[in-house]
Amino acid sequence: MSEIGRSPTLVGVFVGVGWFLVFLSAQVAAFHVLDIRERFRAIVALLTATMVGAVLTTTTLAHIDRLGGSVLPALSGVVTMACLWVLYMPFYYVIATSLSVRTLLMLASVEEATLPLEQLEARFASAAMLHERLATMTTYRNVAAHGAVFTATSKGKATAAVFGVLKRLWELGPGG
Amino acid sequence: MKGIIVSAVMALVCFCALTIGFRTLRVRRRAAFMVGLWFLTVPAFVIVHRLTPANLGLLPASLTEPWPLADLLLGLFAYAAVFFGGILQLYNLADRGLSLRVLIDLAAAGPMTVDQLVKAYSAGQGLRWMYAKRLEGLIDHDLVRCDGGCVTLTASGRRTAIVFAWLQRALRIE
Repeated sequence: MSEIGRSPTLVGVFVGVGWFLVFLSAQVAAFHVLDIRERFRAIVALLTATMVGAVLTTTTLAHIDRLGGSVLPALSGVVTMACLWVLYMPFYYVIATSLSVRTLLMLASVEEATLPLEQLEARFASAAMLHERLATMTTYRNVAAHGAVFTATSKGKATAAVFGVLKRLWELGPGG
Repeated sequence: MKGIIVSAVMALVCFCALTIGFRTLRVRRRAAFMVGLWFLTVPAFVIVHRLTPANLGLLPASLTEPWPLADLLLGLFAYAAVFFGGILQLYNLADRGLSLRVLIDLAAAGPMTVDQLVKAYSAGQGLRWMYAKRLEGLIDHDLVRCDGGCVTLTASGRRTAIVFAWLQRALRIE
């Protein structure tokens, strides 16, 4: 037990986990209380703020309890939070945007949990669905709308180029 | 800190091994192949961590963990995060990402209307193809079944829907 308490890495990990829980709680609270349009930016801002909290906590702990310096616990805390965030975000996007999840929820909302395939396609493989997605992409400046016509912005083109290289490298084909 | 450096190096090794695997083998279930390969590299991670000095011959004392097991555990966690949250997600995005595919189509073909995008999606395969692929995945995981042009939730699909509905309410996602 004393070995664990004296490990700067483990102290940083525990502090990081604690502050990540604060981040999750703050995100849920903020999304309920505020009407946030650019949610990804809000998430990054909250993560940054809680990471600062983790660094301050480890620095304070290092001063009151000889941990052999504050750099290693602070770094361990930040790395722990970054790792948890990297694992959390794909899960968040599944909850928020996955068409498969939306299909399950739409089926669950109707009697007998059954719908004709055409009705599902009309909702999830339609121009209306794509319009919604393009609106989000426009908000994040990956795409620009000129009337009814959409174009990739320079930011969008750069992203497309990077993933184009990866697709060729891994021989993935068009995908989507 | 040593564990984090080892995890970065091992992630690079894993990425290169995956690339060689994709280019030289006929891999059908790519995600399963990736996860399998990652698990194979975990013992190599532990061996590299055990055989190298605590400071890697370059780290200052302030960045050297006195308890090697703690450093190993954080390194393994970082390695798992880089793989499952990074490399595997890059693959998911590149192979299945709808927004990314739209972006690539727009960047390649130039300005388009929504109706043109619906038809041009994924090199002309169209949005219906994309949705059929999603439904296939749901059927494979026994979450829905498709009979005579109707799609029905299975029992496990209902349970999954309840969990996701709760998560969407918690995150206030409409």
